[in-house]
Amino acid sequence: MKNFLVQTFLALLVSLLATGAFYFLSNYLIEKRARFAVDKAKSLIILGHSHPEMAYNDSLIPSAKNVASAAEAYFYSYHKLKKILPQNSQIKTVLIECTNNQFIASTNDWIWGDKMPFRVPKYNPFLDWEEKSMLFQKNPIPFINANRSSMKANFERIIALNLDYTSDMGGYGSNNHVLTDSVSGDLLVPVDEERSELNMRYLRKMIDYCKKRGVEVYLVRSPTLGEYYKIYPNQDFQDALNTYFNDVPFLDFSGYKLHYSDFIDYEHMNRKGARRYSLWFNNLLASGLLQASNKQAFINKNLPS
Amino acid sequence: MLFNSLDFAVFLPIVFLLYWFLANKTLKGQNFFIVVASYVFYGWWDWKFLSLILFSTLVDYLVGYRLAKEKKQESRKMLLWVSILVNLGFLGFFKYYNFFLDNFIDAFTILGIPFQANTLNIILPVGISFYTFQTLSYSIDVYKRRLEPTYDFIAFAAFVSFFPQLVAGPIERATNLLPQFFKKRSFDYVKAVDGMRQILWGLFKKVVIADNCAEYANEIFANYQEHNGSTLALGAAFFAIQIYGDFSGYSDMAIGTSRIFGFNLTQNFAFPYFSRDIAEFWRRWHISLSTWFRDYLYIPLGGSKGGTWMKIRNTFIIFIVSGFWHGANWTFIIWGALNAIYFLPLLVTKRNRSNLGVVAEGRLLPSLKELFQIALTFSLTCFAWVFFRAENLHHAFGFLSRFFSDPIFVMPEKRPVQLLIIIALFFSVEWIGRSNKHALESLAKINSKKMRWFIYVLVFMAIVFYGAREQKFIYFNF
Repeated sequence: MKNFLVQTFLALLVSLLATGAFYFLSNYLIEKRARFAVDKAKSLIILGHSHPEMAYNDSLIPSAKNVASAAEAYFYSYHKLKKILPQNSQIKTVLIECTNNQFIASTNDWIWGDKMPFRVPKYNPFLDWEEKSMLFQKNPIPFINANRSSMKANFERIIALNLDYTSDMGGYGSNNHVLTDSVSGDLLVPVDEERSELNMRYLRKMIDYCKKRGVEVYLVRSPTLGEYYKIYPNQDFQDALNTYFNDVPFLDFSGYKLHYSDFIDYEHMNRKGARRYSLWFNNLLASGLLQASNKQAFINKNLPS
Repeated sequence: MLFNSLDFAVFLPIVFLLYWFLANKTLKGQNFFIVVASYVFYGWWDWKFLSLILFSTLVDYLVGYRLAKEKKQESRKMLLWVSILVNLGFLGFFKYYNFFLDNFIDAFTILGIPFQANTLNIILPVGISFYTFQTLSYSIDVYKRRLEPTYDFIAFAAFVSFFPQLVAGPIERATNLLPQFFKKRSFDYVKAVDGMRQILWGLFKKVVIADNCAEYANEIFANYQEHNGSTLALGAAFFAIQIYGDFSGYSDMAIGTSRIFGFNLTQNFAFPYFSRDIAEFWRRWHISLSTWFRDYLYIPLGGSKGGTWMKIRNTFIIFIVSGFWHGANWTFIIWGALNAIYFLPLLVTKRNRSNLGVVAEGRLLPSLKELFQIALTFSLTCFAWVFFRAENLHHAFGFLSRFFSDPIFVMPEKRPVQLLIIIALFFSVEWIGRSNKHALESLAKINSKKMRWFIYVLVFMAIVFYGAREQKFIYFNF
C-alpha cells in the first residue's frame, strides 16, 4: 500500500512537473519570440472592441491598420499594444476606441467572465503573475481550463514552428446583415452599472505606454445609432472621461450620421456602413486631421451634411 | 458526480484513503463504508433520488429473503413478479411514461378518437436503467436457484449502489459482484496499479477522444442541411468514435476504480471497432448489457434452439428491447431493429460465431480481407448510429436523405487534421493492446520503468492539453 501511494504520488508529481515545465517554457518562448507584424506602410493602428472592429475597413485606409477585436477589454488590448509597438517602429499614432459601454462593470466579464476562455489562450504568455493571479481569484475553474487551452495552443504553435500572431491580433470584421427597422423602444432600457475600475486602469496603462514610447495616442468614439446612447447614457461616460482621461485628446465621431441600413444592430456597422465611414475617415486623415490644432472642430467641420 | 470532474478528483483519494486505512478493519466496515461513499457519490447529483435506490434495494433484498424461505412455486413466482413489477415499474414510469402517453395520443388521434392527457415533467434519475437491471438479475438468479440469497443487508446495499458502476455500468450480475462483498478485500498492488492505468486510459478516451469528437459531431448533426455528403459521413464517424470513447472510457474508469478498491468488474468493451462482423461487434460492445439480455430475455424466449422463424423473432425482440432500453424514442427502436437486420443474415447462415478470437492475433497488421471486414462493420455501425444520435426520426431521415442525395466523394468541409491524427494514434494504441482487457494493460510488460512513466506522462499531458471542456457522459441519459 505504501509503495502504491508513493508511486501514484510520484507519477502524479512527475506528470504535473512536466506539464508545468512545458507551461513555463512555452510561455517564455512565445513571449520572447511572438511576432506581431504590421505592414510598413501603416503608421496608425486602431485598437478596441467590436465597434472599431466593424467600423474601420482598413483596406480603404492605406495608412491605418485595424487591430480591434470584438469584446476585447483594455486588459488584453494593453498586452497586444505592448507587443505591436516595439516591433513596428513605423507606427506613430494609436487610436483607442473609447465609448460609453467600455467603462461599465459588464466589461469585467470580458476580462474574467465568459470571454476569458477565448482571450487567455491567446494572451497567456504575455500576462504577468499578478494578472494571472487576479484572473484565477476571480474565476478559478474557467481560468484553469483556459490555461489548459493555452498550453494546447502553445503546443500547436511550437510544433508548427509558427510564433506569428499577425493574423491573430484582430482586424476588420465585415458583416452583411442589414438592420431594417429601428430598434423597439421597449428594449432600450438604460444600463445602470458601476464602473469597471480595472478596465479603466488598463486604458490608462495603454495611454501611458504610448506616451512613454513617444507615440501619439487618441481616444476615439466611432459612430453608432442614436439608440445606443439611450442604453449607455452619456453622462457617466463623460464624467469618467473628464476626470481620468482629460490629458488625452478625445476624437468623437459619433456625429457622423449613418442610416439604419448601415448597421447590423444599433451599435455595429455592416459592410456598407463601414465602407462609407472608412472612406470618409480616410479622407479626413488625408486632409490633415492629425495635424489640425483643434481636431474635434476639424472633424465636425468635415461631417457630411 | 462525474468521473471527469474536479469533485471526483477530490472524492476518490479521500474515499480510497478512508477505505483502506479506516474502514479496513472488518468486512462489515468495508461494506458499510462503500454504501456511505456510494450514497454520497449519487446524492451529489440529487439526494432526493437516493430514496429510489434505497427502496429498490429493500424490495429486492426482501424478495430474495422470502424466496429463500418460500417452498411453494406459486408464491415464489409471485415474489419474482413483485421484484419485476417494482423495478420495471420505476423504470417504466420515469423513463417511458411520457413516451407511451404521447404515442397513445397520436394513435387515438389517427383513429379519429379525440384523446386528451397531460404529459408529466419527469426527471430521469441518473443510472436507473443500470441499477434496476442489476437488482433484477439478483431476484431472477435467486428465483432460478442460481444464487443463494444474502441475509446481509449492508453487503446487498453495497452491491446495488457500488459507486464506480452505479450510474452507467457495467451492469454487474449478482453472481459475479455480490460474492465479492462477502470476502474482506485486501490491497493488491499489481491490481491497483493496473486499475490506475485503466482509469488514466478511460479518462483519455473520455476527455480527449469523446469530448473532442463531440464538438464536431454535434455541429454536423445540428446543421446537417448545410453540409455535403462526405461531411455528414465524417459526422457519423465522429459520433461513432465519440460514443465509444465516452462509454468505454466510463467503463474503464469504473473498472479501474473498482480494482483499486479490490473488486473485479465485468469487461464491458473489448475493442468493438476491430470487429469483423456485426455478431462479433455485439459480443464486444456493451458486453454487460448484451449478456444480460441474452441470459434474461433471449434464452428464456427459446434462444436459438427453435426453428428459423423463432430465431428471427427472438433476435428482433432482443435488439428492439435493447434499443428501447437506451431511451424512450423511436430512433432507438429503429437503431435496434437495424442491428437485428444486420445480424440476421449471419444467424440464418450460421456464421454468427465465425469470428470468436482476436483479429489478426499474433500479427502486427490485419490482412486485407480483415481490414475490409473491419471497415464494412464500422460503416454499418456508423449508419445505425445516425438513428441513435438523431433527436427524432425526422432528424435521422433528414440527415440520411441529405447524405444520399449529396455527392459523397468530395472533400469534407470540415477537416480537423489534428483530431484525426489523435484518433489515429488512439486506435493504434488500442490495436496494439487489443488482446488485453484494456489498451494500457500491456504497459505492465514493458520492463523499463522510465519508458512506462514516459507514456503515463504523455497520456496525462494529452489529457491536460486536449481535454475538451467537462461534458456529461452520454449514457447518463439512459
